[in-house]
Amino acid sequence: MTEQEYERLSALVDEEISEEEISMEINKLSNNEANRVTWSRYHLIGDAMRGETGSLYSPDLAQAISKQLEDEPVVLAPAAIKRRPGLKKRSYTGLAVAASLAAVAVVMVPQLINPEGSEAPPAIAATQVPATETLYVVEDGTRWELLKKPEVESRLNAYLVNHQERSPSSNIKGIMPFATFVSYDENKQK
Amino acid sequence: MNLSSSRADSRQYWIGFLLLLLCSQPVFAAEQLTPRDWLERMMEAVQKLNYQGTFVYLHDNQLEIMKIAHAVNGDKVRESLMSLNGAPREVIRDEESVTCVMPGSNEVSVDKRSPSKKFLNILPQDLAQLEDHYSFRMSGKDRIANRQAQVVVIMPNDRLRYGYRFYLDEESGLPLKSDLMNEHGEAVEQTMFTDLEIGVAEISELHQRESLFTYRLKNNEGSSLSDDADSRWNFLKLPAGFRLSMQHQLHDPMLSAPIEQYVFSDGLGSLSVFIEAETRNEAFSGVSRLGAINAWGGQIAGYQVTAVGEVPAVTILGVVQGMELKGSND
Repeated sequence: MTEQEYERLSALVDEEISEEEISMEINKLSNNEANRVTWSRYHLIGDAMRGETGSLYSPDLAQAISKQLEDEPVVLAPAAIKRRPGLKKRSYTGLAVAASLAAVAVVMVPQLINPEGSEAPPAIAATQVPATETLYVVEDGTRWELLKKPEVESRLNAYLVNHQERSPSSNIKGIMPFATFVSYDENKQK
Repeated sequence: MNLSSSRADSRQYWIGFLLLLLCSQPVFAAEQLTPRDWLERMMEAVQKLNYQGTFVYLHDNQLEIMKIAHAVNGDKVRESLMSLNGAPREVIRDEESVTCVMPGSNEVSVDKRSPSKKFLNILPQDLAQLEDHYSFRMSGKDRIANRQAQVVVIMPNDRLRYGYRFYLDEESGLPLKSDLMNEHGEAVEQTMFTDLEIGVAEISELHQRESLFTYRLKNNEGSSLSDDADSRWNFLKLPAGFRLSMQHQLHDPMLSAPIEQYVFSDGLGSLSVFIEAETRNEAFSGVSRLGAINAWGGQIAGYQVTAVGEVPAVTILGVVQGMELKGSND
């Protein structure tokens, strides 16, 4: 199977391809034993990610997955890769193989938290999106969400300090509420 | 519920604790304290002890490190909070003022503190009042900054306020770690001491910082702190448990009319509504968020209204939606 085929297969498991494509893929599947094995394994991974397997930590299963991972370049998070076509699949795949079951666990955690998997798993995003990208996006903004104008921010800051100073709860936490204010404004230093 | 006796009880614990310290007996009857006792201990400790230390502060996926010092000298309290990473910012607070020291030209003015309100706004009886909207419980022990801690959780009974998880130093009652939890139970702000010294506090004088960066201390003498001034606004249908806790006017030299400030609180969470009569060129309109702080800005009856507070956005919207200018017929 080529890498592209693996990807299509995983898309099929995730129900992310059109109906015609689905029937095509299923035809291919039924004709090929290796494809069927891969198909069921993808379902197992999918189930694991959705927390639908009975005993995830059974040593047999771990061994089985581990062995399979060593044997082939499994695309662990096909959804994430599909949405970022420009990314280098090769390096990611290699990483996943090397990390073996550990990688399964790492990728799975965010998936389990967000079982719908509607967004790219954070663990993958973190390694593949350059960290600077997010900083550039907010470069001209302020520390306040959705606030673009420094003048407005400065007034809001003043109001915030005034509020915190007069908030009745400020003494339960001492000067701590001012931490929001003292906090370093990373974006503005750029 | 007998409030005065429970308060007296906590005092006894406190005095007992000090006596124990004096006799250098390491035994402390921590096991018998209720969550409320612990919170009272924490309030006392935060306000009355000398301490200094370094803590990490996590919010919006940003990790920062800060230094805190709290010096008590008789009746006088002086506090400082200083960022140790990034631009050096500092807030120094004493009876008279709050000074924000920061680089560049950002200035923040805070009106003279009202002497009657200093340092002790929440009283133990208010803790009883909190029980209408929050549940207190003990949540085991932990170890923070190499000290033993009792975990006390304040859970909101609805989604109109945030919850808190305090890891209180068994020895002193100081919060070694505090988590602020949003309406979905996620920690939105966390602080945790990495080291803490109790009984010591050094805060250098302001002028020593002058060479480092500009600062401005501004006491607006003209400002009036009138808790009972005639309110021109009605606040209808306040979110459950929230009450007007103070109202006063701020004087901005840039504006001819004073800004009205209304502070609402449920005893723990609070928000302020600021009302400006004049519209400025750049008005804040819409919602915003900074860590656990939510804000709303917009026009109500021709006034520019800004609401900020450490409460869920829905609570802020609830307050501003019920605003009504007195005498208006709408």
